[in-house]
Amino acid sequence: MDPKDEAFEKAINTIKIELSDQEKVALHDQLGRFQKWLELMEMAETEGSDLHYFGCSVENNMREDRPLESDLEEIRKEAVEFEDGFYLVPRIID
Amino acid sequence: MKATELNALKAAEAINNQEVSATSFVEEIIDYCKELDNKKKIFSHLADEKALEQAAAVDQKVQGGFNLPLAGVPLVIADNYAFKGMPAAIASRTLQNYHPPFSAAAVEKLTGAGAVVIGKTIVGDMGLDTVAEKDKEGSLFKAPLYLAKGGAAAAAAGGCILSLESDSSGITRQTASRNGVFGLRPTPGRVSRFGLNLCCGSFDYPGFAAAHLGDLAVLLQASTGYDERDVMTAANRIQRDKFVYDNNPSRLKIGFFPSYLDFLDAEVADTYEKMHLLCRKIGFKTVDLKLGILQESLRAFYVISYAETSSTLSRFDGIRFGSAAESDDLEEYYFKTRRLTFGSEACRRSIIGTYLLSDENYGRYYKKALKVLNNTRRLFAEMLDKCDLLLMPLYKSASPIAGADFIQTYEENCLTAPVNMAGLPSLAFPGGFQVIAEPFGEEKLLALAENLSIVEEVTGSNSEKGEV
Repeated sequence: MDPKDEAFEKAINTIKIELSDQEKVALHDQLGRFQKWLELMEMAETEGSDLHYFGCSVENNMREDRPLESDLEEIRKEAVEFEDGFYLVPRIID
Repeated sequence: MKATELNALKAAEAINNQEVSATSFVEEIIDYCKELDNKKKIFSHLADEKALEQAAAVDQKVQGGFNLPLAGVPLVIADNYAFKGMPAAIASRTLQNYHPPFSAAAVEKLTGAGAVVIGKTIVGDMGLDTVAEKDKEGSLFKAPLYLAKGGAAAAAAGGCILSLESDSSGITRQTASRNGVFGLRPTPGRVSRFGLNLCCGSFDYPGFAAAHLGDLAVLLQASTGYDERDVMTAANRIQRDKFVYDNNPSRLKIGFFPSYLDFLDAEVADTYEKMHLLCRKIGFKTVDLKLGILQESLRAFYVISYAETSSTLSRFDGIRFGSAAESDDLEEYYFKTRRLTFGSEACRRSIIGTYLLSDENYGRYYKKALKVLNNTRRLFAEMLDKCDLLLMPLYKSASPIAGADFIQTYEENCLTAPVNMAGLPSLAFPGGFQVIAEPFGEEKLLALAENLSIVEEVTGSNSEKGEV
């Protein structure tokens, strides 16, 4: 792996996945092959093309927000830990 | 009993007429599915008691005088659909013990029509269209590529009559075709995605598989419609000129791509050429077309897919869902949890997707991909101005490449991913080809399919159906 590839290191640190050095090298190699594969797309003629986000014309059909009935007991079953009406989650502020 | 012995309408009719009870029918299918699953790992979860409860409820309604369009029809759903009371691990440790407290909209509609969910079928790591690799510990996905979409395999083997899946890059349609059954990806917006676990919001949409062509029409009719929980479902979107087919083939003009014949393996090229000749023989008008952007589109598809997936998967941090690592330090907690829970494909897409979206690379890859997406959409629209339907191959080679690396498996989708990018409905036939229509043109697809009922002449009578 190129030790100067800061963008790759930055991506790992942004997404926060622990990888061994060996796994980093393998993934960096895959990234290189993927970039090579993408060269054909980079060469595509797109002069004058707009950016487009969806394949077909889409429109959001908005509705007013309103509360829906739900079964709290069912939802609580999914919580890893639940106490006094609250989800227990790892402490994030010291 | 194999479910392929019946189609949905016949099964529902027999149950509605009380010639057979939904409970006994479903019981037989479940017994068969258990045997099937022992031989081929198709199911991630078999419902058993839960299915019998549903079947008993159907029997009760039928005895009470209700006529249900899908009474007792066995349905399998992909593991990335939520169904209350069934686990939804989606082949990942991230959601290993997750039991959704709600059901997906499409599943609700189908069960509301009387269908019985008999089980959930395997999907790739986090529902990503992927190939099984020797995986790191995060993934529970152990199936070979040809079973990457277990629902199509279940439909082919007689484990169900209807199969509800998701179709992102086209593997659902490919798997259906390779297993000798039919697959359909409706126009985005026709079927609600509420309750479908999405990795790439732009391309992940529902798809169907069934052994009988008519059952796809039944599935489409029963699951379609506006859903206020998915704001992108079409509210009042139907074709501008409602298509009415009068059994006159000369009214339909079909586009072919002769230049693909050089690119396809001999077996697939032969089937495609036979289809071309068959369509002419039946009386359809045909027109030769060229589409030279497939390879660029395929790459753009994966850039967008990687980028969106990296963003979507970042919500799985072990705090609200899934397994979590032990750590007193928050940073370390995130790193360790994702190592523990993400499989190879999820890991690759998360990191490379974030890389592609970084300041340095955003314009070079992501913006470029969006422009290619626009070009792809425009070119397909221009072709569909010249004809009613397009007939394209589904894959280059009849057998997927065994042990292929990730780029080779992506290249398998070069004939399907661009169609999905363009937001067009596509119907896959056994034998390796697909018919494509304009958005919301599913009626045209099904009309053509009816005329191609002699398709068995081309595809070898679906003789491999059931030999998954």
